[in-house]
Amino acid sequence: MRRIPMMVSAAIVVVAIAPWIVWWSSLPSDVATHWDLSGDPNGHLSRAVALAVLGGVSTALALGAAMRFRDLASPILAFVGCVIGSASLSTVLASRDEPSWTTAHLAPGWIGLGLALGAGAAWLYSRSVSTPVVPSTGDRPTLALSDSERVAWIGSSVSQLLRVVAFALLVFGAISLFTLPEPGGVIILLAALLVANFASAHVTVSRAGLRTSGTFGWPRVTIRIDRIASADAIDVNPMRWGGWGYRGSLRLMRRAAWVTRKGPGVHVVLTDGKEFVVTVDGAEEAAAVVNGLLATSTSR
Amino acid sequence: MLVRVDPAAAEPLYAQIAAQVRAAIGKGRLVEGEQLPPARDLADALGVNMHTVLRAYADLRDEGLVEMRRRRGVRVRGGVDGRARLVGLVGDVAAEANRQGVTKAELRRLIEEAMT
Repeated sequence: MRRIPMMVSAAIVVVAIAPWIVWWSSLPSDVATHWDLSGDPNGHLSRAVALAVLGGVSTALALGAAMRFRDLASPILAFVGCVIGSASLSTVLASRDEPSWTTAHLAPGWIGLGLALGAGAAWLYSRSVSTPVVPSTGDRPTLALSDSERVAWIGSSVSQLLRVVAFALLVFGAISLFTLPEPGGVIILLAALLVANFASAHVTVSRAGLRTSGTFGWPRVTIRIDRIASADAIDVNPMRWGGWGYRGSLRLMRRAAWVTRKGPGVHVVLTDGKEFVVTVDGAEEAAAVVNGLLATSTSR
Repeated sequence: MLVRVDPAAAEPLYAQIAAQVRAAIGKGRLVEGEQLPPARDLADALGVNMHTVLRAYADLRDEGLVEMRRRRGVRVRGGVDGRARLVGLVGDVAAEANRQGVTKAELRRLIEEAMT
C-alpha cells in the first residue's frame, strides 16, 4: 500500500521540477506567474524565485503527504501539492521560448487540468489512509433503549479561537472594503463568514441518524443509522484529521472529519468501512446513543 | 442534552420531556445560561409535534427553571438546581397521591403538617 503514495509524490516532484531543468535556457530571465482571466500575464518573478516558490512548495507538500500517508491530511496535501505542481509545469510551458514574460500566454485549460490531476492524486492517496479500528461490542458505550422509545441527543462544540479569528477577519474585511481594490474586502468578509460557520458544530443524534451542521446551518451532513456500524468517543487531534473545518470527503476519500477544536469527538465507522468524526462536547454520551439506536434497530 | 420519550408510556409526551430537562437541571448537567435546543430541532429529532416541546418548555418556564426570550431562545436560569429537584419530588408525590386516590385537599393537609 505504501508504494502508490510514494509514486504519486515522486510524480508531483518530477512534474514540478523537471520542466525547469529541461527548458531553463529557453526561458526569459523573468517568467509570468500571475494571470488574468483571459490568460494574459499580469505578474512576474525571476526564474530562480519562481522555481524556488512553485517547485519548493509543491515538493514540500508532496513529501509531507508521503511522510504522513496514513493521515487524512495526506490526500489534502497531495491535492494542493499537485495543483501547485501543475502550476509550476504550466508556468514553464507558457514562458518557454518567449522573449519576455509579457508575451507569455496561459491556456485556460491548465486550471481545470491541475484540479483534475490534484483530485486524482488525492484519490490515490485516500486509498492508503489507514483502515479504521472498530472497537469490539463490549467496549462500546451503549445506551439501553426499548423499541418504542424515541431519543434525541443534541450537543455542540465551539472554538473560541476560531470565533476570535472570524471576528478579526470581519473587522479587517470591513476596513478592506474601503482600502483594498475590488474584490479584496468582499473575499476577506466571505472568509470571515466561512471561519465563523466552522467555529461551531451542532450535532443531533436520533433515529434519523447522526446529523451535523455549522453555525449557519450549512453544510448539513446526515449519516443514517442504518449506514453506521459502530460509534465511539475519541480524543480528536486536529492535525491528525487534516486541520480545522470540514475535512476530507466521505465519497472521495472515504473519511471525513468536522473539527472545531482539539478534544472529545464522536467517531463513527460506517458499514462500508468509511469513517466520520465530529468534535462535540459530551461525545461519550452521543456515541452511547448511536450504539443504543444501532442495538434496537438490528434487534427488530 | 439527552432526551428520551416513550409514546407507549402513560405519562403525556410533554410531561416526559419536561421531566428530563428538569432532572438534568437538578443534577447540574444543565447549568445557568445554557441554551435548550430550539423546539423545532428537538421535535424533529424526537419525531413529535413542535407544540409538544413548546408546552414542555412553557411548563419549565412556569416552574421558574428557564426563561424564554425572543431571539435568545430558552435558557436555564441561575441557582435553580435545588428548585428543579424540589419540583421533581413534588411531581412524584402528586403522581403517587393520584395512584392511591388521595384527594387534593388531603394531600395539601399532609404537606402542611409535614412543613410545620
